[in-house]
Amino acid sequence: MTVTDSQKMAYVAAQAADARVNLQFETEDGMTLNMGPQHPATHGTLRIVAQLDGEQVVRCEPIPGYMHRGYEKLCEVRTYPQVTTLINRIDWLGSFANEVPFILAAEKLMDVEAPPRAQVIRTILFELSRLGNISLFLGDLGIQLGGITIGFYAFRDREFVLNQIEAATGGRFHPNFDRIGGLKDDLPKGWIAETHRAMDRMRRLCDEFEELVLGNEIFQARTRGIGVIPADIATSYGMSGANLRATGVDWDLRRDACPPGLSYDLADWKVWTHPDGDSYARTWVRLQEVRESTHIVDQLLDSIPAGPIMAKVPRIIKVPEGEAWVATENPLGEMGYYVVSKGDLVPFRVKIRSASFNNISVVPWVTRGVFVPDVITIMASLYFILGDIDR
Amino acid sequence: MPKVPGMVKGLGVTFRTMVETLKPSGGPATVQYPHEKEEPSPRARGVIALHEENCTACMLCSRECPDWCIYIEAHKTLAPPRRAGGKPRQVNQLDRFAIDYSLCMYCGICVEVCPFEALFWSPEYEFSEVSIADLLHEKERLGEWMETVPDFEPYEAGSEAKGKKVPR
Amino acid sequence: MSDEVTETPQEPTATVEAPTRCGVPVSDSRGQVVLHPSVGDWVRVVTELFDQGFHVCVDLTAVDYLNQPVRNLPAGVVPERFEVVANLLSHAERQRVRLRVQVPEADPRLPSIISIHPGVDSAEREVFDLFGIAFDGHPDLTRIVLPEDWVGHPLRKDYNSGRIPVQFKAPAPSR
Repeated sequence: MTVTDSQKMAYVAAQAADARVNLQFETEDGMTLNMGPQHPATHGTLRIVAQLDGEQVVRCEPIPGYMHRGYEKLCEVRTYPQVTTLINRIDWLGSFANEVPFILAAEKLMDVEAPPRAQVIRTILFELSRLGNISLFLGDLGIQLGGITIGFYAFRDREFVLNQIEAATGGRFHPNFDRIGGLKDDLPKGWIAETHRAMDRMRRLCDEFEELVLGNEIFQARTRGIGVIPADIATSYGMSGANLRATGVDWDLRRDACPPGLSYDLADWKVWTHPDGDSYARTWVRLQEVRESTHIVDQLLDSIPAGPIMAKVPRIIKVPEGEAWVATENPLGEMGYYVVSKGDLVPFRVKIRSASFNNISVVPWVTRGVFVPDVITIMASLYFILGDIDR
Repeated sequence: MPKVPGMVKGLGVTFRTMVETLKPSGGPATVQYPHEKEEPSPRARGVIALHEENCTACMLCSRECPDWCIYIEAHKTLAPPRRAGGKPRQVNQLDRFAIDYSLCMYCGICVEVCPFEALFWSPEYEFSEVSIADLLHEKERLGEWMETVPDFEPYEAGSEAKGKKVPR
Repeated sequence: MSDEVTETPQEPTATVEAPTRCGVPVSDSRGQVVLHPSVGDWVRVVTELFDQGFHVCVDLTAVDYLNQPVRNLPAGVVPERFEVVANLLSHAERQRVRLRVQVPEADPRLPSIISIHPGVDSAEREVFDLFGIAFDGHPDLTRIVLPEDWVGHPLRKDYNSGRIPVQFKAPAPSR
């Protein structure tokens, strides 16, 4: 196949576009460091262009978009069950959590309420996906900073959570289990007892992390005081989730603005905040959140009401006209869906507000004047998933 | 020194894990695949099996598939009447039913929408091929997967879901 | 939620007073407050809401309503092709408010609110990238999710989403 002229022009244009970014930096003092899309320290294909003065960063810009899959355009030509399948893959580590706000928005438009049993099991699976996601953060943070051991422990203990998700839904990473009006299927026998055991395992991982990583002097030196984000900067940049709670803002969507359809009021739990706002605070808050999640799951497992798993919904889902915004406290932060429907089989417009997109918008502000290894620490502690940024 | 430095305590964690790995009761967490294999749960979505007798070629699975990876061909034929003396009735005869596993997302929408319970999930996952074209499983191979379909598990206490049976 | 209904002074003889908040029409969408400022009122309304405690701009997005003249809008709001939707959140009051601005197709521009909410930097770039709506006052309005040399604005309804040949009809996209 010969290369056509337009393909040649496109290639040259791509090179020029890349060079434009580098050329801008080269004319000023300092060196440009391009941590390109393929880099083990970025959680996926994120490109970080940093202008350096010696070892210090003068200006740092994250360039997302290398993983843009056109989700919002795709959602306009897919039926609601097909959209549920697709949106599993936005934040692929806590993928049940991606389905929930979309299903809740569709349920809001259809005026359907899931039965209590489905709501509690939905909340349990939501928390399990949070455990799967944040436990990988705990392991990955160690790997980014050079302490690879905790990565192995995290993956080993995460398997128990993933096995439980697989036992209930059939898929370890992409459950595709939430349906408008309830859940696809009920829990298999023995699931509750086995999940209690998995929660014990997760608490053991938290204790090991605390001893192995948090107490380590090198870790403390690399994370205390690094990447401090004050509370007002965090709110003005739209940050959410553990990043916001680590700056001292006491805000958790599960407690403060929980959409109807989830059962967090059945459990007795608390929200963890830390006043410092540095990388250590973000790690500490996430660790406590994992522990709190295990307690929430334990409490909810013991209070699953009997009943049907699915409300009466028509076979072919046609959502009535309207628009709805629903946001939930996903593992990465606040994830929201703005669903506009025209009464068809397919949604008219789905806007996916992903937490990581706003969480990394603070990177140019927070990386002024830090050293190059600190850039890695800050990116690791802010914790984003590329699928969440680019969609 | 009065306080044990954090690094030493951390080394204690790794030492404890190493001792546990060496003990016969603990053992390493690694599973030596392919010599040892872990059992996936019965609901695991490995591969889709087709029970041909139930399929009426209604095309619902093919329509709902997000990837359009199911290829169905059927023709109308006359089946003998149910009662003696009745009219022959028109049914769909399935010619071709193929699932392209190189496109399949393993989402399960086809299994879920099938109104006649002709598709089932099987936890088999070891069907990788050298050539992508071999990942297109035709009717015969999909029927062979039916042997690996496990029975439906009983539900947890308090469930009102009806138990289903796998046709053998 | 406080019931702030002020009368519009221009219609003293109207039998029904349209509810307003911050001087723009307000409606209710399934329990959520929705404001409908015009392009000219945009920055003023966002600033007023910021002073009332809505410090977080959760999301800024747009919707393309090509060929959809009938929409659920309060009286006095002229529907245009594009609609920019912003979501604001108040931590202190635990309230959300949504703003929907009608942006005409002939002049798709909107003042940027980056000076009030610095976090909309990437959101406004994304709206520009995918819809072609320009934001006046944005320091660096370039493409963010698509390559810099991409031509076209994909999320517009007249941008083809591509077709692959199948043997039956797929669900028709909403047009």
